[in-house]
Amino acid sequence: MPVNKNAYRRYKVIDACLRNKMRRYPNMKELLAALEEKLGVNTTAETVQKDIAVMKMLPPDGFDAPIKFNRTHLGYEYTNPDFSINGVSLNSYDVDSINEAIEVISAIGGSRVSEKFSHAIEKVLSNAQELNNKEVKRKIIETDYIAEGRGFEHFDLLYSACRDRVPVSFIHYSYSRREFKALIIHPVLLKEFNNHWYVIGFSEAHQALRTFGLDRVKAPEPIYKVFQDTSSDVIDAYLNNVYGVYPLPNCTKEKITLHANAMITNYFRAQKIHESQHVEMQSRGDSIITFELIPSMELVSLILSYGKQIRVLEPAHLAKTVKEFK
Amino acid sequence: MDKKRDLLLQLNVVRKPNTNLIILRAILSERHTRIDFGYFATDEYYRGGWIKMSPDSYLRTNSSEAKYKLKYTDDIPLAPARLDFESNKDWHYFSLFFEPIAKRSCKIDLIEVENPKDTDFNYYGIKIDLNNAEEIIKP
Repeated sequence: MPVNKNAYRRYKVIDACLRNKMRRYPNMKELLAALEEKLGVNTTAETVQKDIAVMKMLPPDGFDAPIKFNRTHLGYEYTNPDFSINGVSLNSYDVDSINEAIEVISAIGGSRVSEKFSHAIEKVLSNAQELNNKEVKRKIIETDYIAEGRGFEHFDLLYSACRDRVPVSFIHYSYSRREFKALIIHPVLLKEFNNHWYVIGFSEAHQALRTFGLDRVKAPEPIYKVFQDTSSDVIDAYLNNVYGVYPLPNCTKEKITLHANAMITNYFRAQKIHESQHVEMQSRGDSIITFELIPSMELVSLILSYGKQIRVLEPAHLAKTVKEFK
Repeated sequence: MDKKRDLLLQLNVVRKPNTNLIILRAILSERHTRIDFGYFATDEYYRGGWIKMSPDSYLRTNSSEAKYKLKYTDDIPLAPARLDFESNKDWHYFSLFFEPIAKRSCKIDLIEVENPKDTDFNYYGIKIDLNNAEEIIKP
């Protein structure tokens, strides 16, 4: 007996009601109300009873749904709480969790990532989302992510190149040197820092790992070429020894010592900026903060952002660089 | 040489005497020959001046008399339209698409104007060495 479309839509609503952990044991009145709300049509109790009977039938006519009327709670239930008439058994908690994950991804990953992810997850959630689609979407999580940055349109291509280990030719413009160059990189990683995206890979011109801001990458073209792989140890060392993405020229990993006043010390104690960070408290609430890092432009910017409330004790060259930017 | 392959050459050739125009890449396909450029605005003009490309521009190679006409451009207007910069620190990337030249090593000239001034985008003797070409992966 083929299931008509209207009947199937009713089954999905009934199924969702029976899986709703927040409102268990729905009675007939509640099922009718849900059907009216979700499908916008009046349904009779007789129809719902027939639907439940069909749902309880064995496949292919029904779904072998373990529906039972609970006399204690005077409502219907699935005796197997994990049951669903859909292939993927998701309860309302699962659906909420996935929707929450989508929102987090939207907030931190931007619209492009979230759209792709949402599209894929929509297939999994299709039934549950149909039940939720009348709800007004209200933003719960907010980040300072700014969409539509220059170069973000290349994200997909560069992501695929990193994943599939494909060298890429692209045009790069250096803001600091005012210089264009056609480069070939063997990309290994996409990194986000302070709302900017970067591609990291072995640069043939530099014969070393390099970081390129996506906003300075133009016309990337994947090419057939043997991929110059970079070991994960080298990548980790490259990433973990720097705060940010751009090491200062000719700098190596070294001990950096800062003095922070009492107020700024709170921020560093609340959130480490690097795993090597060590805060040594002083009697007046100020602190000596040390790192083992390669000095970077981003570290200089951070220090400058705190003005006179923080100063570089060592190394001298970093203190000089910070002073030059003031 | 498989005619259907798109070949990419990294050129990075700065033009002399004015060094604010650079040929970055050439891409040889059966549909067109694409030349990628970078341009920096300079102090020579107020707010960096402007750029435009003559619609009569063409390529020629050292192996034939043929002219390979400009078909279309990407991110640079065809004269008399022009792109005005906002500052003398602006920079711009653009591409020119010409009729396809044969896929073989040669030298090409880019002719924007027959009797050029320094500010015209003429280039001479651009080395196309297919030994250094990379094949583009088509989508």
